[in-house]
Amino acid sequence: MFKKIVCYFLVFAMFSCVKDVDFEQAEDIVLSPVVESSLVFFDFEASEFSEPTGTAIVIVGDDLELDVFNDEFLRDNLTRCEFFFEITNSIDRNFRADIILYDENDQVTYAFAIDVTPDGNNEVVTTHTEVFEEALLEQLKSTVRLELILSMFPSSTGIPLDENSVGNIKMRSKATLFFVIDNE
Amino acid sequence: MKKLSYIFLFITSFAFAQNKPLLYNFTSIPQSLLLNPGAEVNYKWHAGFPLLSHIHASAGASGVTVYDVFADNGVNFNDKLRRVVYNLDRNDYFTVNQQLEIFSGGFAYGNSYEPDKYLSFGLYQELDIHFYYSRDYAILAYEGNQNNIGRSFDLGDLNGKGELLSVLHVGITKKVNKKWTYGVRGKIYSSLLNFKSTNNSGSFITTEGTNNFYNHNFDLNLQLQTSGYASLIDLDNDGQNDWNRKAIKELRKRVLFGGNLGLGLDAGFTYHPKEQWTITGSIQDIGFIYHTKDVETYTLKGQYTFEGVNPLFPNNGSGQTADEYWQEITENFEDLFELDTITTNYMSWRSPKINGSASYKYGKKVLKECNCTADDGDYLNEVGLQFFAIGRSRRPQLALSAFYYRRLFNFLSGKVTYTVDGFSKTNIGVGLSSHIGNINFYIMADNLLEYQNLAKSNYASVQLGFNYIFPMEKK
Repeated sequence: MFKKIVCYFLVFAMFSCVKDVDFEQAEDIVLSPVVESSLVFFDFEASEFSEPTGTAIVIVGDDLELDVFNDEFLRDNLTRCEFFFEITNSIDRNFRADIILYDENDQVTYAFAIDVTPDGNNEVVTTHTEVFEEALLEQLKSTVRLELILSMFPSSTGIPLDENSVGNIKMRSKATLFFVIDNE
Repeated sequence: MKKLSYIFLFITSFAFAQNKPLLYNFTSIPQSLLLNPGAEVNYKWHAGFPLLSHIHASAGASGVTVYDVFADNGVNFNDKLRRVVYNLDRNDYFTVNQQLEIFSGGFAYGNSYEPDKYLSFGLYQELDIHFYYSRDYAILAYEGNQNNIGRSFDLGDLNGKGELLSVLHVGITKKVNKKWTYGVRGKIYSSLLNFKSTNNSGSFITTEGTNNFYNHNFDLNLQLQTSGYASLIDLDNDGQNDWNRKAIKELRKRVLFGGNLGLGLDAGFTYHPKEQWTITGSIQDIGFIYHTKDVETYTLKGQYTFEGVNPLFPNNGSGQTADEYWQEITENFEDLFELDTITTNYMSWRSPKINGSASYKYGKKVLKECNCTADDGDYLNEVGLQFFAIGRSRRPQLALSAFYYRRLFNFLSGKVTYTVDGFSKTNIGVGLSSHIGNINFYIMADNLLEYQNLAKSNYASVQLGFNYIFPMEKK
């Protein structure tokens, strides 16, 4: 008897008067944060590319493990990704940066290149945006490794590069990740 | 998600932290001795009905109501959520408090013709959870760092604690003379479960970089202390029901001295500067629990600044291979986000509470026979102010109440309070206490203005209980 009364009061106090609310709508929750992160960068002086003939193609490259896009959270919620590169060149040579993405079987999933032209020893800023969406984004999500290859092409005037040559080539880059986190 | 919304409903649908303005100094109810051991006692002995003598449940959210988020008003849920994410302050909080008296009793003793002391005792179970709104975490999750370059996200915004404990207590109330009564109560706490994450600091900030676009600066100093938790997780698990059963059994074992133990003290007084004036004050739960059994502390500590990856071609003479360099970056990140588990003893302070009141009694009952008032009769009305404060990890939370008490009939008295606090400025509560025969029943509820739709209230609380009370003989 007492228990009944207690239960009645508790129920009354807790739930009887909650109205005009719809808790189901929580299912509609959507969060869409945008995260930016630095990617690769470098800054090399002309002397690093020394080649005595003025006619050689100098190729340098490096590999980076890049398995962050495999992450379950990113695979489920990342809907768009942009890579933004800014290359500042004051070496009097043409360059090309190749960015090649590989999956876990060492198959190329995607590749793109950025051409850099010189203006003597004046700084030339080249920017490049690579957008990953839909099918391309899926390819990015299967990427585990990124290769960056920088090729320097022969001088049009045949001037070799040595320790006293002036100029730099700099790269800055960032990734912008667009998330849509919902209840699906 | 559904579960989350029910928890949210629970937290916001009925409430009030630990303030019990209706029960405070309601001296005909024995449980008022738990709020002030120096409250006046006007009965010979009492016994609470086991498990039914004091049931208290409350939860509250400052700055937000269920209605704000879940109103069925055609406004997009995410717009409502957005408003809440941005409008709440880092000092806004969510709290749940629940108490259940398992047994209680007391008796007067001392001077045989006029006992001047009252011994009261009991065992109750309490659940107390308190969380501050982790504003910077919410905003970082909500919008990311792109629009927040240069903004420092304060990781100290994570601040919460929770405890499930049993309290065994004995108190003595001593009436010195007509003016003075004082009392103390000693408590032995047995903590069934405890978690505490109140000393977090650090930041995450993205700034414009020099070598690359951004520097991402992580400075983490986060800690979560737990006791009574690790062994529950390790219980054999043959399905959820089986686990629930075992967990409840395990928790029950800890109720009487089986958990992590602690000590506490309550003290209080009642003073009548003049016959009709009353001043009271009390302090509750000055105490601590020392956690030594089943303790686990998780920490996340470290500093790291990431500005991107610098490929090493052409070899720049650092002597480091590209692979080594990359390993170093990976390890730095792993170290940074590695959760360390340690088992060190720790102390948790209970949240101390202070109550105070000043009130005035008036209006004696008019006797029909002579159309006069009885000299030895009690006053029928009392008005006054009450003050409440509770210590929380950042700063105390305060409440001020005005009250009117009225003896309605010989068997029924009532109290109305109007309370202003961190939750609301319009809280009206009503409490009733009946004495039919020797059975006392009381029920009190807060925030009646919002009772038509509790979803719109920041809190409401309920207390009720049954006691058997044996009155003083009338002389």
